[in-house]
Amino acid sequence: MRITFDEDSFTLGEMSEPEWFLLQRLPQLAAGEGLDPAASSRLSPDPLDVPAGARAEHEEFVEDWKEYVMPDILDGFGEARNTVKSDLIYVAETTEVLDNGEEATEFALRVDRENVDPWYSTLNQARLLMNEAYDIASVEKEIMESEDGEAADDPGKRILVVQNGFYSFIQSYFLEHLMS
Amino acid sequence: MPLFDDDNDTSVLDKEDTAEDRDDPWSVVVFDDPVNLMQYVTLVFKRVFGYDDEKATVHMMEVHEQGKSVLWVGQRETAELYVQQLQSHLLLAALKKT
Repeated sequence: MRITFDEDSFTLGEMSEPEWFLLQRLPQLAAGEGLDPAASSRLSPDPLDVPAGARAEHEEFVEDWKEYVMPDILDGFGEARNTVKSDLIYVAETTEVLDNGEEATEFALRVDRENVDPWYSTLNQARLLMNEAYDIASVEKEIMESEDGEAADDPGKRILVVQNGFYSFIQSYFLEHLMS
Repeated sequence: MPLFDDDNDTSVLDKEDTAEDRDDPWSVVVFDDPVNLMQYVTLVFKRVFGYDDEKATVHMMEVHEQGKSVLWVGQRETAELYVQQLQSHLLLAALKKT
């Protein structure tokens, strides 16, 4: 993958089929599809930092927060995902015949630069949910410590780590070049 | 520029405060998490609180190294709005009675 940008847009270009597959899945994953529903709690954290014994006196506040504030926050996350979903429709696919006769397919997606925040949010939602569901750091550690063991042979865990790294790479680029 | 003016803030929660709630300052606390990138956390602090790069970085490092940082202390209504903004940016933020 190669990311470029100009005054009006950024382009996620030169994507291989696996990279496009991971990108295409982004809005669904960020919505929690295929993940433990309990992971979604990370997107609506507790608004209060009080000792357990003192929670009762703030119960009304917490209930009001859940009823009036959290829906707005979650709506914002949904709008970001919808923006990404709409952008993904405009992917361009090119297939080239190589010297050896094999075909190579590449994907490129040009996105309005003003959508960089919704993209960052959606990537973040997906990574937060994946981490909540699987604890990515411990999966990475498990794979590193057992290169010849079971974890290394578990494609699901490998894909998880690759997916997290792929999304994180895009986020880092956005921060470095488009958001600061 | 900060998002909210301490002298003219409004609450997202239309509820009656007790006298104690109004008098006691509340803190806005941000907790560390293993996903949010450090550069992003700094950016959010700059956007939400209007902090300059240096101050935002100090708070980001505090979150990273000590597990949490108190970003702001003041009236509860304003603190609520800050927490709402921080959570909208997917940071782990909460109110704490000081």
